[in-house]
Amino acid sequence: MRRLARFWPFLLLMLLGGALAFSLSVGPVPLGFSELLAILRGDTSDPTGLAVVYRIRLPRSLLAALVGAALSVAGAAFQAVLRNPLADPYILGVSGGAALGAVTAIWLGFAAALLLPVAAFVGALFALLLVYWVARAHRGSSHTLILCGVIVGSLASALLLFLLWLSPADQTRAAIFWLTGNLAFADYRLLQWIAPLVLVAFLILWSASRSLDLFTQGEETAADLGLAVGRARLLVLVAAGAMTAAVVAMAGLIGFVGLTVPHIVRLLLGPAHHRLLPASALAGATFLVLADALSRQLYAPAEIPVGVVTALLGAPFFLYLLRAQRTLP
Amino acid sequence: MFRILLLILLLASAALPAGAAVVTDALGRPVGSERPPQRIISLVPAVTEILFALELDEQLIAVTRFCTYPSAALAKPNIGDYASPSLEALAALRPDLVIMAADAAGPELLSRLEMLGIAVFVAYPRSLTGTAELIRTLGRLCDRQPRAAALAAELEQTARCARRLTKGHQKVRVLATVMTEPLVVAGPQTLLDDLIDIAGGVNVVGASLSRYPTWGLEAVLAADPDLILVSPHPGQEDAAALYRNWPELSAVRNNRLLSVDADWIQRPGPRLSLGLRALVRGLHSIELPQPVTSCGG
Repeated sequence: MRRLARFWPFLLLMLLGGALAFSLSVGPVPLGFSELLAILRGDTSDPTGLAVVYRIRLPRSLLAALVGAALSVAGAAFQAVLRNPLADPYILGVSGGAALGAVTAIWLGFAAALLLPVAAFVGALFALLLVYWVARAHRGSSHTLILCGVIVGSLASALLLFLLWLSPADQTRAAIFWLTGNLAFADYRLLQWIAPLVLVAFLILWSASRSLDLFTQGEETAADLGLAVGRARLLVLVAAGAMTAAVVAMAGLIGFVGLTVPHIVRLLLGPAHHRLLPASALAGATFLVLADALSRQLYAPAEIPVGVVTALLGAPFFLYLLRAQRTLP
Repeated sequence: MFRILLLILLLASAALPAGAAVVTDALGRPVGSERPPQRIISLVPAVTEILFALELDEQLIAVTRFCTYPSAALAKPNIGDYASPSLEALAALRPDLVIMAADAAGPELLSRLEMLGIAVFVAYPRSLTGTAELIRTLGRLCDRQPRAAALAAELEQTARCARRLTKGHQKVRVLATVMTEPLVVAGPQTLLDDLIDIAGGVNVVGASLSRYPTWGLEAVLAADPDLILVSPHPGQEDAAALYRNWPELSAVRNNRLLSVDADWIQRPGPRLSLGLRALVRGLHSIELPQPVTSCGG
């Protein structure tokens, strides 16, 4: 354990590199390792190989890494600030808001590829702010926040079902596909917008590591120890919420990553957030890159939904760790 | 004992009034009554087309909101979705026969309708032959046998003609796109797969766990079909636009993205003959003769 505590950055970076290499090398088009290297070095004239690596596998792997990292970091932050081990990035109505925003856009007929994510982002932020605004009347305690999140989420899903009922079958199918989460439409244009946003949000959260540590001791203790609870909480909620909204806007709702990866990292490396947050980012990225590669490879050329793979991979591993460690983090 | 049973059966069948028929549906259930159904509700767009072609428009009292052809179907009362129709509206119309599809609606709907005491025929055609069979069965059930026999024969003759005229031609490797978000393609055991085969093509989607698997673009690049079938549904993104972003595909370079009206090739009904003609034209530049009986041989 001690050794792990010192070497984790190298170990996790190596794992992420391995996962990315694996993800780049698997798929229905057979590309050997030497061909892959030739393509990456640029000395090949095989147009299909180039297209497969640069226009399909690479953007998709990068998106999986970004989404996995963002969801895990946001999950860790929400679990700390809400003092609830069941918190995930979607708990404060972000998922419902994003889905409602996206489906509203589809329903209104804005099918433009770049408009959907914007609508989802706006919807998610709107839901988060609504939750915060209502909960603030009760000094924003974590119970009130969670309760408001659940209610706003229910309201959003009711409106969503109503909109889906109103729309024609073909549009409904597209919306439902989007809601189940997918990485298939990775696009560099979107990546270059979202990546900086996620990075900035991550840096804000990382710099708030000390506050997050204090939050896990309870709000009163945190206040006694000199933390401006209200302001710190707002900062964390906005950063983690915006991060979640951004990746939900790109990849739909991918479950399980944001709930379990922080727990797994906490079990292995301990609860201190200055380490938990970056480690969660790397572990979450590795995990989703692997899950996506498997979802493309297991039944190739057919693809299975990535959410199925994340749950099938993550749940047993998580249960094993819980059993082996015998104490909840 | 056996003879007595046989005698009883014979007597019983003689006692049935003229026009009565008992047929077996796709689930093997016997469906029939003493007289041909007079108040039919169709929950299947293709069956709606078949019933109109069998001149049963007076007996057809309601359809779904997806029954868009022929235009007279749009004037019929509609009882909503094919998977979850309004049971109350349906029962209020007092149908003596409801026709549903095995793949579109679940067994719950079937048992609900049976509980309401409504006769249900379940259709599940997945091939051109199956469609012809369905037409004949509906003809027997609804006392329209001659008309049904002619319709079914026309479909089968078109298929025979297509097979004969494309014989000896190089098989065209075809990918049939069903929708783009996600990218769903037609696999084996589907009507599209059957039509591609009849039209002198080979479906590049091989054995698969799902009849309509979801593919990534990389799978399309790996299969590199000679021709890609794009059949835009109204309100859906055009699959041709998606593929044109990928000049690495032979079908795109050779300008072989074939667009055929989705209802002609995805609805197991009388218009399959139109779809088949369009496919043979697109795959092999062969025009099937009109009428198809003059195909020769």
